[in-house]
Amino acid sequence: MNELIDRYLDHDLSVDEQTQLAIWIKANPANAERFARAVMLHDRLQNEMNLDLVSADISRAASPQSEPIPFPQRSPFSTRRIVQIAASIVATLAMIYAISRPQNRLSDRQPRGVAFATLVHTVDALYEDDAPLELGHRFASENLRLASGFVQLQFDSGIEVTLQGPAEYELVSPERTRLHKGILTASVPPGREGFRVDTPTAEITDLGTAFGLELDASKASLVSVFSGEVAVGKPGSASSQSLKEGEALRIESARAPTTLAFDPSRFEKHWPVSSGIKRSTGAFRLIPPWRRLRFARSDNRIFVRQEGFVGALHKPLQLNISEPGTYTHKRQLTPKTLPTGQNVKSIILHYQPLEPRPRETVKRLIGEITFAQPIIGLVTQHEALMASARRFSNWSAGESRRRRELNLNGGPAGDIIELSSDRRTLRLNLASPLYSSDLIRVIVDASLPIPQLASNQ
Amino acid sequence: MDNMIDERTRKVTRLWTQAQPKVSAFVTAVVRDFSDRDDLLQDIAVAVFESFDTYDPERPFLQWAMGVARNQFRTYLRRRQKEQAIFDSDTVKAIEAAFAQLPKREAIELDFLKACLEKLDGKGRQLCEMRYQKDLKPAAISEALQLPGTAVRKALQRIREQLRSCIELKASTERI
Repeated sequence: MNELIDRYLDHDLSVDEQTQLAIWIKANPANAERFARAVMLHDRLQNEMNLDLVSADISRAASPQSEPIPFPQRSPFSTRRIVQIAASIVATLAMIYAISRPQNRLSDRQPRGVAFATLVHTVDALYEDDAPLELGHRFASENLRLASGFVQLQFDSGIEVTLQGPAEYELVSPERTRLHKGILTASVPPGREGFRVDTPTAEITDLGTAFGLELDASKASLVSVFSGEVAVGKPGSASSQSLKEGEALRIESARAPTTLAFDPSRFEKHWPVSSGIKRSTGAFRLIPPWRRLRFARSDNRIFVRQEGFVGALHKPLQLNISEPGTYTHKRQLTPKTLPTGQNVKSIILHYQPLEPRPRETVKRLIGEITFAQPIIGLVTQHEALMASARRFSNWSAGESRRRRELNLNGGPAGDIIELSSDRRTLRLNLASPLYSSDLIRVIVDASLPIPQLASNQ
Repeated sequence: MDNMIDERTRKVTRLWTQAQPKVSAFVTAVVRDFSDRDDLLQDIAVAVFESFDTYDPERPFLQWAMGVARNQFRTYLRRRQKEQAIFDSDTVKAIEAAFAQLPKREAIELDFLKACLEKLDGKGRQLCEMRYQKDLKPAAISEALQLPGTAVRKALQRIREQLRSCIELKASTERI
């Protein structure tokens, strides 16, 4: 039975085993006492281990000149016990102070513990708490209440979460969060599987993927998987259901989960935010993560899609343009090799007209797109595009065709590209003679903490 | 702050400080979520303070505080929807009664935990940090350490067994 109790405390019991444990606890007061003792130990272990962190902080804060006071280790009034009692008293006094104020609850905004996520992008974000959050704000365990607009958080692990207000999102730990209200999309890079979003009716565990989650008015959870796979279970249940790319599920409290038609339109407004696009002119069309780009065609649209996930380069990456400026000729290119380890995000810009046209008629498309994070550089030429193909996602963007590189010849059918001096904006003037089409891989800086963007706008 | 603290406040603070470890363990027993536990424990503490005038000093404070905890737990379940309850109400009652009856020495004996933790080897310490400081579940630990899940579960069980035995031994030695 000790094993069953231990596994219960590790959240590792099946529903049947949990029932078995409950029956055992009720069967005899001695059993309940044994269970209570085990929980006491577990709870105290949690406190002790966390007190270690507190004690370490206190030690660091103490004056190096002060003499250490030797406390006998076996005394029931050990340093640790004193710290615990003090902590308990402080907590009680804080509680008394809190409830003696007109508004008797502590702010949810108050972070707890070590920070693990950063606010990297906002669009028209208004918060239910009074003070707005600065870009670059670091989140520890805390609540985020978004009255309206969008925010994008980047976890230190590379996980990206975009929230659409009104929303209430609780950051519990680097691997665990909770959505109380609103719409969320999450993108979890390989190696970070296990990231969890809980709702009142469901526990969604990511198995390496991108997914969307919405809580409707009745608190039912609507889960849509854009790529990869997630495991969906009811709260506290050991069993879960696998949900794959292109599938959607509705989970209500009192009913069995029901399959839904995959309808990602409810997440449509997320793509510009989740791709880190601050603004763009009408020529650009943001594409959700699961749409293949290489076959997308339009005479008057440049399609934009994030490739894969935020992450560190595992080998050097060759750029063709690395400096701000206007480029009309190949000789102006500013090649650079990005070193291994740099944290980046890749965004593909794809322009492919519907029909090839006669040599003498060149169609031009002009547009401007601004990113939330600085552009480190661009991959625009055939060899470099080929070398970086499938580096950021498993899908090809059609790099193998030579005609897809930027035609920088300075002539009437040539392309023109400009990277602004603040490295946020790209201005494109693309020509499409004959079968030509264009592909640009934009490499954005995803290192943290990000610089404040406000001063650059 | 001193001006705010009257005799009633001092009394409830003292009693709550003594009862808090068991109430906290009760909350841990019946609420899965780590942050929910913090919130619920804070709600219980507020309720204890606010309703302290209804406490009969002739009765044990711990039992009364456990009653407050039970009521707050019910409110929590209503707020969080009932299907989240881990245990049925009879089991919760049995657990609550067990905590209320646990002898005082139980909490005092756990003071030996620190010394026992220091006896753990590097691996044991690392597992404890991952499980209790970082709140990682065995599956996440096994992934992080590239160990089979069963090995991590077994190792955690062994560590707790070892700590239990160590505490019991130290407590008995101390009593002698």
